[in-house]
Amino acid sequence: MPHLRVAASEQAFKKLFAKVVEKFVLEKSDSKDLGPFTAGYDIKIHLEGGSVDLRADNTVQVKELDIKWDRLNLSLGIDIPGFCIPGICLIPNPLGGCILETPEICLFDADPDISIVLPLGGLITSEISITGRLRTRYNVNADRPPDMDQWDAQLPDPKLTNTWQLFLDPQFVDIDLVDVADTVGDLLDDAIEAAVEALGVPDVIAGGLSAIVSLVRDVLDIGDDIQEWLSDLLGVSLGLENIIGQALIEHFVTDDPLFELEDPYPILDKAPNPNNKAVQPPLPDLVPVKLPIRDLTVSNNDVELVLEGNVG
Amino acid sequence: MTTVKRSVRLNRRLLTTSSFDSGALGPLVSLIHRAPAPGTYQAVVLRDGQRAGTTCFRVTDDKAGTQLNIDLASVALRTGAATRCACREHPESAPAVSPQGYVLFHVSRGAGGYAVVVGEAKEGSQAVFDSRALTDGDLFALSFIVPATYAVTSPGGAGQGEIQVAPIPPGTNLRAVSPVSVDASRDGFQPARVTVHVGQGVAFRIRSVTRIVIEKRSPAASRRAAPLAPGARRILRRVRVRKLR
Amino acid sequence: MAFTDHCDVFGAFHEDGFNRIIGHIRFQRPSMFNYATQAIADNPGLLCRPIEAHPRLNQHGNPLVTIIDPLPLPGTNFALNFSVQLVDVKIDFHPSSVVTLPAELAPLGVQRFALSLRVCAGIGCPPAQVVSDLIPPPPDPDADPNQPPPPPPPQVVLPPDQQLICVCLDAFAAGGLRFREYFQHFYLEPFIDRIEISDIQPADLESGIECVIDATLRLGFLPKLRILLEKMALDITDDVTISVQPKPVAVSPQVPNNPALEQDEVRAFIDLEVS
Repeated sequence: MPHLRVAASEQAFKKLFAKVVEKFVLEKSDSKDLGPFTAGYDIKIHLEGGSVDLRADNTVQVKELDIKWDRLNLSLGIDIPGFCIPGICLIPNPLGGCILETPEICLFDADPDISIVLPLGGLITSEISITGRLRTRYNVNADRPPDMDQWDAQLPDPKLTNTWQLFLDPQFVDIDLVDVADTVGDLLDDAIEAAVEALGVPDVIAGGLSAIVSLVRDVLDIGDDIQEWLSDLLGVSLGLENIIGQALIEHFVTDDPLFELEDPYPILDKAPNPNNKAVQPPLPDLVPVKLPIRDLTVSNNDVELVLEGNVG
Repeated sequence: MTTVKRSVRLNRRLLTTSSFDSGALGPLVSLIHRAPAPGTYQAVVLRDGQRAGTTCFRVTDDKAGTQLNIDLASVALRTGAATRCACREHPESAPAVSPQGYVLFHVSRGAGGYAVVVGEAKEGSQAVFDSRALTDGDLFALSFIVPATYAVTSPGGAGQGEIQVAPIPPGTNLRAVSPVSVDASRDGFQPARVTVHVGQGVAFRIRSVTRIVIEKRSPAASRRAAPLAPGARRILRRVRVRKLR
Repeated sequence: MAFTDHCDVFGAFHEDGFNRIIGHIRFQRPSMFNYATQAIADNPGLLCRPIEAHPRLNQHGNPLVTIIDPLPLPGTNFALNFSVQLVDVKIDFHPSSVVTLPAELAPLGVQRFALSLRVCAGIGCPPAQVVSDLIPPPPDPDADPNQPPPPPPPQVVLPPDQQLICVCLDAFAAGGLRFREYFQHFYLEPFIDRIEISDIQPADLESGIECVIDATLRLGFLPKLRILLEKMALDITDDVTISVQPKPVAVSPQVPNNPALEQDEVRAFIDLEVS
């Protein structure tokens, strides 16, 4: 029989979990050369909502945790061909090519580059589901000097105590791209047109504008389905989902345990020195009484998690 | 937010040119003349009626191509005022074209207003070709960049034509588009009315007219690019991420 | 049936663990278990039982012994050094298996614990010669009766001989645990139903000593063993709720005892305002 046992209801566990989720913030930016164009992202996300379920098979499942995109800026750097009108083939060669052809006419003297930044935060809806196991681990504080006793270790801020940690060990994280708003298409369209107009194509030259816009879309390989294009760009090409998933795993496993227990564990707080005398300066307080905790393990069923351990 | 790296120059004249004249060549047009009889020829480039430069070429059977392009703007820039034609001293250095070939005159840059007179490269020779007075068999070809309706006339002739230029349809491969041919004669243009899109060529075959003038009449209605497919749909795409070992 | 069927958080200590806890308290807070006058505290070798304590206590200014006043000799201004030590403390939760209660306390009732301890008292009897030297003279018969009487002399603590006269008694108690609220915090606190010491004669002497030990335990020793409710749940309640103090679940047919002393464990059923 273990010396000590603590059980927390599923409701209580949800509170523990929510606190760790609250602390997860991911800020990252990067760019990638995708051949015809470069794409980059600048993101900041936090998580909200979700339902947490303890399961009878000793696992924990989190469903439909919303990714809140505080910032999702997608940048595209496009090197567009200089929009040249091919020469007119006046006398075709029956064997292929032209016998007589007018010269090509180019709108630009070199390939122009345009950059577009699309603010997509709020237009993308994504959710996360996590399946994992609860585990305990003993964390030795690497900053604690070897000859420091358990009472001196509690004085600095942060403390230099060792701890038992309860953490969620995700087996896998599923990231679902649920929706891309309609307006993304218009946003991208407007951005490309604005960029192309900024090249100096007069507004009246709508035909030239539309030709170049069409060219840009070809370079980006957008096609008809803007949502699918964006989904592939963010997910496959830039690997955002994988980046978020790994960061979340790291957060649960390394950065923020669900619960931390100081070891040795203070069972009685400090107390006044019994030898204090009224007319003399007070003597040092009695130090807290601390219990070494050994063999802390965790398990769960569908209604509660249970921690068990021994007093050393 | 968009930014443009201003590392390129837009050839604005291509977008602002609204008239095209076979007698005053400018950007977007080409004038093609069959190669004259074998020999060495001098081409005198005029600009707004003034001599701007000369160049020369050879017509020969000896390993010459079927097309020789002469950029009138480059000739004018290179030589400036009239100079002695170098090919009198070094005729073998002049570019060559086959007697079955064609000489194509065009203007790669600048405002235009060019003409060219070709004659044999010797004293007292007669002109064999003058772009200000076209002859049968010549070709006047151009591509339009600005969607609009253009009126086509031939000074001294009865013909009136019209070219309607539409924006490029999305997804068009300009290299696969065939040009439209128009016969230009004293009786008029055949067909008198053609419809093309931006980037599609129009080639006038000259028959008994000496000059063709094309002028923009009215712009086409400005049209924004076609909108993308409407209607949101739920995308269910799942990526499963596992803990790295 | 789950531990948290009727509560948000459940905590339990097994008696084996609880006895280890008592051991750690003795090791880290020896002044709770050892009481002596200053002269004995300054010379701990005199104590009836050596004190085993954490080696770093001295560095933190923590004493081994609680200093107590010397034992006054009636009719004199003299007092004796003495010490009291609580040693071999053991606790046994229902059903009884570790502590064999004397007949007066057995059998151990349900929801009760049995406590056994040894109380060692030491008297610092002074050497005979010191006493002889300190016998006060009679008052001077020739003194002026109208003179005001001299002030009473200060108390003199007679030095002990080379060792204390020690006597150890085994004591047993039956008691329970309860939750009590102090300053809006709930504590698990032990209470005593009854004490018995090993038989001594005359019987009234035994009763008198039992009274002293009983009062000392209730008023001095046991209050220092109160454990904050949160500590029963290893402070997990701190992470689950921010502004609400945890409190014991009210007793009901589903939770007939809280804390519950059963199956060799003390169990706490804790409520939080978890929304």
